[in-house]
Amino acid sequence: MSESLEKSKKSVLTFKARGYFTAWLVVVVALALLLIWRVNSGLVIETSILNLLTSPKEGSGISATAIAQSSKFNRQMLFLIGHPDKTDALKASELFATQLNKSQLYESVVYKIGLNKKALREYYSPLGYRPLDPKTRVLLKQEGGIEELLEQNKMILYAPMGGLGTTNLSDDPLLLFPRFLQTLPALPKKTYIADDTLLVSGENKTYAIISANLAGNPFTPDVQASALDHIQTSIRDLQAKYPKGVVLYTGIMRFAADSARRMEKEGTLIGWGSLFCVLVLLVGTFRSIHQLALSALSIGVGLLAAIVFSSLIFSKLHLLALVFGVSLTGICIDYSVHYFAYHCVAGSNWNPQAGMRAVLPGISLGALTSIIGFAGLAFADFPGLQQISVFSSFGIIGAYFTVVCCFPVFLRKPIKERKPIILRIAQRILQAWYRLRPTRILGVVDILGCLFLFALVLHIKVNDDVSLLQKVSEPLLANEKKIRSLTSRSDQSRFFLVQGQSEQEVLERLEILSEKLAKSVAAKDLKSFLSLARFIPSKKQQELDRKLLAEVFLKNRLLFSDYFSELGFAEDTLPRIEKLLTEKPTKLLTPENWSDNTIAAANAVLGIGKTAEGFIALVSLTGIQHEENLMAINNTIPGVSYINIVSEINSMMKGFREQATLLVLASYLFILIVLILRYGLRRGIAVMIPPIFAALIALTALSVFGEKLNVVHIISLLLVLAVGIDYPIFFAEQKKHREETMFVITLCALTTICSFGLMAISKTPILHSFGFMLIVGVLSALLLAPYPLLVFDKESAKDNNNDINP
Amino acid sequence: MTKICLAAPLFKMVLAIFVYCILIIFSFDATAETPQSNQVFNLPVNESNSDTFWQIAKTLNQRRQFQSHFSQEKHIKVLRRPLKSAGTILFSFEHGLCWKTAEPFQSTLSITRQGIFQKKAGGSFQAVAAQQHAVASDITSVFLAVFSGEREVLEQNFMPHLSGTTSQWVIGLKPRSKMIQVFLDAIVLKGNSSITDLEIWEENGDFSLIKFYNQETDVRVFGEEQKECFDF
Repeated sequence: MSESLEKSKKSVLTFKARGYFTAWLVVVVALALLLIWRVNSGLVIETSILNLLTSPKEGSGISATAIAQSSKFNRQMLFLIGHPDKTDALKASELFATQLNKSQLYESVVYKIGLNKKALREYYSPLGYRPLDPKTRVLLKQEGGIEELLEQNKMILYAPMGGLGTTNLSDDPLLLFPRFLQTLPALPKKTYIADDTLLVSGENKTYAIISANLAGNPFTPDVQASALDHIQTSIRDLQAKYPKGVVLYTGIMRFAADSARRMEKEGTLIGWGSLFCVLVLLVGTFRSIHQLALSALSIGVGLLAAIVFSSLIFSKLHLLALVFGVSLTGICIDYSVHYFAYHCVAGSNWNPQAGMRAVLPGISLGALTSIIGFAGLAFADFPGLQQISVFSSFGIIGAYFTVVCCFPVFLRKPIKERKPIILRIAQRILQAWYRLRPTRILGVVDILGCLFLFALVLHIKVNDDVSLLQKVSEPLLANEKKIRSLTSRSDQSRFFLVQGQSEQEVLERLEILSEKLAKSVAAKDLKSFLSLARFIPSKKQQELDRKLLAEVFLKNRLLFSDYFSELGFAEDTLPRIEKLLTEKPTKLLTPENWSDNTIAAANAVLGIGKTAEGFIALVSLTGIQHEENLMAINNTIPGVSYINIVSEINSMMKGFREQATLLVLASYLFILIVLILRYGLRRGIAVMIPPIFAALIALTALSVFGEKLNVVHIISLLLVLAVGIDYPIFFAEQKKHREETMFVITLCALTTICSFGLMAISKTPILHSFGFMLIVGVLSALLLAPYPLLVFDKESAKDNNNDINP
Repeated sequence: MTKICLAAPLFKMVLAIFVYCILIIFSFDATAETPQSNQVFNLPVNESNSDTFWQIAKTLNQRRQFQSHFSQEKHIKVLRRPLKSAGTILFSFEHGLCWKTAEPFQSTLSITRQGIFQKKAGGSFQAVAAQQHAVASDITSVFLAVFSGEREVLEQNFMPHLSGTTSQWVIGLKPRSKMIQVFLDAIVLKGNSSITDLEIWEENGDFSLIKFYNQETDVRVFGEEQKECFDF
């Protein structure tokens, strides 16, 4: 009779549970369909770290477009083809360049840079024969300047064998064009041209220099793999033909590929290692793979929800945000473990619904606090933090509902009651806490301990250096150093950025900047700079030059007449030149098609780029000596800013870290309020104490080991807090089964440590300290988890006393 | 710059001047008028006459410094008459080449390893530092190497031609390098124990004819002269 009653009771509940399960199944299928639709409509995954850090709201400082522009630098690859014999070096470079060209991996490959005079002449044809270089411009404005110019011309014309092309001499009797060409920026120091190829000598070899621009994004693994493969094959081909040949090459792509490869290698090791540890832990404890499959299901649905909702909210998902998001979602396994532990301990008394009722309050509040903790990050300005927030929150929701709706259906069979080792460990921890009787000094100890830890934490140093996120291997650094010493390349991370509403405005600003930079070069603040303004005068400048020349000519007509007749120019030279200099030209030189010509390629001068806000150009700098003087130029000209990519990124990292810290603090203040509302002031604070202590201990450990705080640590702290707050909540919500709860917490903590703690073996310093902080933090949270019990017991004792003695 | 080879003064002078040419021209179009009239270009240096060629080069190499008068006619197509000038040249292996024009006006042109400097009688000068123009400094060093008698380098840069004997010869040099071909078509040198004539044929058809006379080989460059020519 009683048996049949029990059975019918169970079946009614199962029916309800089936309803939840069906609802869950519908949602999961819908999510899966949404995912398929999103992937088909082109889900974009970003890998560039800059896009993660770029704040779209930022008004001052570096803008997204500036970074986009600097990506032109990122695509540059430089090859040095060396051989002890110069002729062979030239032949080998030709072979190599042909191979690069054939591969179609490069947008452009430049190795022949002979200054084709015809092309040069044609390019500058709109300038006629009156381009002015800065020196001549100054000379013409001076008192007696024109006399000086004509004197100099005579010397040039009479100079022994100082030959001048005469066909142009009739149109350019003032020799303005050769003057202009002569003052164009020279080739990089130490390099020279032979057989139209840029060469440099060093270490008993002649190196031919080939520069190439990658067609694809240098941060994408596909581009890296195919380009590096192709380079290796080409080097082998080259060395088969020229055994003494060597190839040196560099470019952002090579660094990016190197760090990606090492991250991947390490990531695989850590990933499989973690999986193995969790497997051993779960299978060892539950003696069944049933639990493992269910854990995978809950995490899988969590990730599914996370990816679908993030991709619906953001147009592009960032890889790094995904990685952190996945890590944070990893704490979802705690909800499954909670349920399994009850199942394990219950033995033959197992009732899936009753079990769920027992764990539901704990995991619900745990999930809620975690979501609140992560949701705060959604208010950040940085897309990276927003994505981590959205991803983790939806991940937790997905995993939580899977446990609640699905587990009672799948985990119906009772198992034999056992006492796994972890249960015994849990009991030991709990017993240790029981020995600490609730005392009056408890609060004082808390406050003192908190102050002490806080004092230690204050000593922690901050380091927002982005290079910590990537570690460059020694051989690559040595290679880069060698190439730099051979070629004296321009500094690619420091440059001037010039913005304007139109191309002409950019050119005008470039001209003003060039004037200032010329002074800086004279003051030895830097060795040289390369600006488009030196090659293409703005329309405004062209008009000013024309007026200046016309004025000078009309004022000194007689002088010109004497000059022409003295040297034996044709009779009609004077009227012809008068017409040429005084008439308005029909066409002006503009920066169109700049990048197509050989001077651009030979000098690696970047043209003007178009952005959403207007036009933009870069001025590259070489041999910066006094950066502060260059920074002083910053913003003295409208639209001109000095950019130091490394320090810009570092300051963005700082903003990222500060905002993350503030939002995490705000979230936890909010969580505290939620806890106080639920448990009352004292108990609420008591529940909050373990995670806060755990976070402080982790920070202290960081400080003790001399590590410097950075944004990745803040994210690991977030994880420590999110995990750490669940443990005391499980206790607070579960007044009866303390041993079981401690067992759950111990198991959860160990799985978390296994999952992320392996990062501590990483060679990338930042991942290493992430893992390290997590181990210390979660272990502390585990050991401190029973703390609220002391307060709860004390409070209930008080309540009981009040009950007895009204 | 430790050990610089022995340089044949006039060879060096001629070629150093090319550097100058590079600096002031590389942008003019013209149809070339080659000095084909000169028979020497029918006689490339080959196995039969290479010994003679290298012997002449060696003789010229042996003089470390000298002074000579010159007269020059420069034929520029656009100009109705040739530009005539005269003066002295001073060469010192140690310092470089100094071209002092006396007629029709006074000026000094110095070509050194540091660069090219032009001085007017008044004292002002224009300078192009060799470091600023990598091409210039490179070509200077290539030419220095040429005059050290480094056969490989010479053969790599020029196609030599020779007629006559070691006592009366004509040497023709045609540039191989495209960088030099841009402005230079050919050089013709005539001489006996020293160079007597130098012809420079430019790519655009202009040409210069220079005669040397009253050569003194035993000169020392010092004092005022050194200051005027080589101190900047």
